[in-house]
This record gives sequence, C-alpha cells and structure tokens, in this order.
Amino acid sequence: MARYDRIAPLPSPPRDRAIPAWPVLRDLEGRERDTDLARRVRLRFLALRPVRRLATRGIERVPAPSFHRQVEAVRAELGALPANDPERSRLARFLHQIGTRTPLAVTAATLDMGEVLEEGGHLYGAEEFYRTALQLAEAYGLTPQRVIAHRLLGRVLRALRRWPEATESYRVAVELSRTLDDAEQWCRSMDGLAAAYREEGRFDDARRVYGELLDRGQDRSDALSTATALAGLCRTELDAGDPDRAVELGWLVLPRTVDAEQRHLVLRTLGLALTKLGLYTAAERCHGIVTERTAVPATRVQAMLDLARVAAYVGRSDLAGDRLRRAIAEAGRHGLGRLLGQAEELLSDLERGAAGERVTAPVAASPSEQTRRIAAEIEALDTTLVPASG
Amino acid sequence: MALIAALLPDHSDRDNLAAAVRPNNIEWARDWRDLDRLVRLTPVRVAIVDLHAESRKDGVLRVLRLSQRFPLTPILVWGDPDGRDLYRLGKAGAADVIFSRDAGDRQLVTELLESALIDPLVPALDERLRGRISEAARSLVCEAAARIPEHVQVPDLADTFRISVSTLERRCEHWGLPTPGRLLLWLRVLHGLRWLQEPGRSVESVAVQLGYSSGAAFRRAIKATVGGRPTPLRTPRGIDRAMDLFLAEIPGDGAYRRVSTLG
Repeated sequence: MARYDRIAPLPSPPRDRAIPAWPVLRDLEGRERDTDLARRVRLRFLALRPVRRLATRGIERVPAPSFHRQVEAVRAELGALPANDPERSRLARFLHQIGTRTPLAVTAATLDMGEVLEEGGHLYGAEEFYRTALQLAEAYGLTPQRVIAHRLLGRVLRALRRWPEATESYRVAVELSRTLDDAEQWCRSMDGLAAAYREEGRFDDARRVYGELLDRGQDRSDALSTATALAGLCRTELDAGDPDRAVELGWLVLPRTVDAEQRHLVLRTLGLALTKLGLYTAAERCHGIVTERTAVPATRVQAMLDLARVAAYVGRSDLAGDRLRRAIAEAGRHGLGRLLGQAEELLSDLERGAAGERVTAPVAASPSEQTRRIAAEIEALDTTLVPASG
Repeated sequence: MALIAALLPDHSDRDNLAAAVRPNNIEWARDWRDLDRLVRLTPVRVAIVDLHAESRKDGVLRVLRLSQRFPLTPILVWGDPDGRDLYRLGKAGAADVIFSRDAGDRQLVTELLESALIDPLVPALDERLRGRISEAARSLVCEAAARIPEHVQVPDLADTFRISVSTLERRCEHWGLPTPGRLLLWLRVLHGLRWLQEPGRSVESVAVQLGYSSGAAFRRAIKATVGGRPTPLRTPRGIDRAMDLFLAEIPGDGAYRRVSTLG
C-alpha cells in the first residue's frame, strides 16, 4: 500500500455519476485508515444496494429470488461486526424489513436506518439512505413518506452546512405536508426550514417563518405550532445576539411545551442564553435538569457537554474534566460519534490548559432586570415541576 | 465485435461473466497493459477488471489511470474490495462493483452490465429527434446508432426491419431522413467524435473501431459531414456542433411535422 494515497485527495464524484450507494462510503473521508469504520461503511453500502436496485429498476422488475440472494449475501457478511455490536442487530433488522419488498416497508426501513446513521454522526451515509428512500417514495406515490424523507434530508443537509439544498428540501416538505393537510409534519417542516435559515445567519427569514407558524398556532389553537414557533424564536434571538430576549421567550414557552423533549430543548437554549449573560448558576440548573430528565442519549450527552463548559467558564477545570469524561463514556456507549468528537476536543483543550474559546468564558453581556428575575426563578426551580420525558 | 474488455485471471470469474453475456462479446485481457490496448483499439463499451489481477500493483490506481484515459468507458470492478478500496474506487471513477458473492447470480450481473452498456449517444439522438420525425423514423435512427459499434451496413439495417434495401431507401426519403448510406456515415462520425473525447484514443484507433480502413478514411468521412479536421472537434462543444449539422440534414416528415404542430 502506498504511503501517500493519490486517490483519497481526489474530489468525490456527484451522486448521479458515482457507483450506486457510494456516497455512504464518504463517511470514511479523512479516516481512510480506520479499519473498524471501513468495515462498517462497507456493510452499510452493501445493505443499501438491494434497496437502490429496487428504487432504480422498480420492485416488480427485480426477480424475488435474485433479490433475496443479494440480501442473504449481505446478511452473511454481518459477522464482520462483533455479535453484541448494536449496528449488527440494526442492520440485520433492516435486511429483514426490506425482505418484505413492499414499497412502504422498504421506504420506512430505509428512513429508519438513515436516522440511526445520522444519530451516530455518519451524515453522508444518512443522506444517501434518505435519498434512496425518497426515490422509492416518489416512484410509488408514498406522499407521507416523501414528506418525512424531505424533512430528514433537510436536517442532515443542515448538519452538513449545505444551506441552499437544506432549505429547498424543507420547502418541498412544507408544500407536500400542506397538500396532505398533515398539521404535525407541516409544523416540523416549518421548524426545520426556519432552523436552516437561522443556522445560515438569515435571522429575518427565520423570524418570518416562525411568525407564520405562530400565527397558525394561535388561529387554530394548535399548541404544537405555538410552542414550536416560540421555542424556535427563542433560539433565533440567542443566535442573533440577543440573549435577554431569548431568556424572555424561553421562559414564556417553557410551560407551554407539548412534550418533554421540546421542554429539554427550550431548557438548553435558556441555559446557553444564561451562560452568555454570565448567569452561570441558573445556566447550570437548566443543563442539569436536562441531564437528569431526558430519555434521549444524544440530548443527555449534549447537556453534559454544556455543563462541562459552564464548569470550565467558572474555572472549575477538574469538575469540567470529570463531566467530559462521563460524557465521552456515554457518547461511546451509544455510538454518538459527532458528540464524542466534540467532547474529546473539549477535554483535550482543557487538559492542555489551552485558552481557546471552547474553554474560556465569553465576555458576558449585562443582563436586564427581567432576565435576573427569571434567572433567580430558574435557580429555585423544583425538578419535580419539570416532568421527566418518556 | 468485442463490446466488453475483461481483465479476469480467475477462471470461475470468467465463466460467471460468460454466463451473463454472449461469450463472443467479451475480449479477455492478459494484464492491465493489454486491457488498455484493447480499450484503445477495439469498440469496447465496458471494461471489467479484477483489482488483484496483477500482484504488487494497486488495482485502484490502475482503475484511476484507465478512467482518466477513457472517461466515457464505464469500468466495472469484479471482486470483494474492502471498505477503503470501495471508497477509493468511487473516487477513481469506477462505474460499479460486481461482488464475488453475487457473481453467480446471472440476473444481477446482467442488470449491472445492462446499465453500464447503455450507449449515451442513442438517448441523446432520440431526444433531439423527438417532434422532428415520426416515431418509426426515430426508431430506425436509434437502431442504426446502437449498432454502429458492430459495423452495421445498409443491408444489415434493412434485414433488421425485414425490408429490402430499396424499401429502406424509399422509407428514408418519405420520412425526411438522409439516404441510409449517408445516415450510417453520419452516425459513424458522431460515434467516432464521441470516442475521440477520450484522451486515450487516437483518430487511427477510432477509425479501426468504426471499421474504416485507415485514419485517413475516417478523416475524409468527417470532412464529408461536419467539415474540417477532427482535432478541433474533440470537445463536448465539437460533438454538439456535429449533432446540429446532422439534424440540419434531416428535414423530417412534412406530414408528421404538420400533425405535430396542429396537435
């Protein structure tokens, strides 16, 4: 093997000119010598190819015996992963589901598998699974699945920072869900669209979309739309540089949240806004509640990271280190690659005593009187008032 | 005529490939150098390679070189590449992979070959001729275009449609097409210009692929159709220009065009 690979630095081919399902392998980018990851991406690639075959040729045109042989050949390779590896059982389930060969089951299984990859931070793989599911949903007129596929695609494209594609995908999801009159999917698609604008720095566009969502929520007494819009506006104001307004909105929406995970999302935004204002005790309280209460591993690890940052900002490096080590263990246990990477970088900065922006407190803005009052209330918040998720 | 050039040292792999396509459509290469020669000198539509055909050679790097020299010729990889090699193969320009475990599945291998064997010139012609000539005339042009690599001649074309050469000539006139001989001349030139987009091919090698006796004969064909020399036409714009000139020689079926306009 050549010491310097001349091929790895070459640009990736566009999807329509690449080997079918090849984009799944792009998660290996920059980690070409990671043999464990190479084994995993290969299995994902092999698992997706039968679905690509169905999507490209049409289910009716792929003879069942040939299809099942292809699936069985992939199943036989799953032994490359340890018996207790969660991905092995997940892939086995995926292969079982696609074996049914019904458009709905295959599409749903492909979307589910994409979400598993996305959670693990394997964004290219997730994108390819979503795109394949979308192709199937379009071919078989499965409009509800098209909405979900576009929405999930928008989310992964946001994470890949491909804003124009992300907003386009969300726009299609919004339009399709409107035609289906599916209020929940419409609300989630609008939320994603606004989040894409916000992350791109187009705060006015984000406010406009959330405004539309809020109007609809109020017109139809739709609690989900109202809470989603307010939670989104809270985050938008934080990112736009107005933490006081974010705290105000966050406090307003907290009692109106429709489920535990939305509540945790708002608490996290509140915590971040309070951190920006130097109100660390209240911020720690917010992140602490999320850590204790959430049932979603990714949310818990994220909250642990937030807690570690607060500890680092107030100069308690030992506590921050402990929290990060726990976060790393938790992220590793659940295969949360992206968060694991963040935690390791942060811990590394902390251990080197580096004064980077990740471990040094930002210059705190001066909080308003109302924010101080809200912070005091948060510090006194009884956890029993914040129900657990699930 | 060879349509597939294959570098597969393993006999069972050869048997599996031969089971999926007509054996006389495969030209076996001895090594990478021989594969390059075959693609350059014969009307190869697809190359199939085993990455481990030669020991101590990075097969993926060979695929990259082949795809750089012949970017319009799909390369299918046969074998069991690991994750890293699969990733590199995508970047190297491979068109697809036939895994050893699937190689015995004739249906699957045929499907993979079929998608690689689609000649892009035929759908491009079909698209450009839509609305200009009748469906029957289009199917004649597309059939002729698809069979150019087989060195199709006017009598072969007439045989395909189970008509005499004279009837074929009459129909071409009626449909507003050039004479069958002129049509094939044009299609050979268009095919040749497409092959000339690949840096690995020379005018001489393309002439041989098209069945001309020499490079000079192919040059004369270009002069008689597009006009000028082949070198300035070795770009996508060159092939577009040639296509426009070809379409300008197709007045189309007047009646069909009138119906299309009204419809």
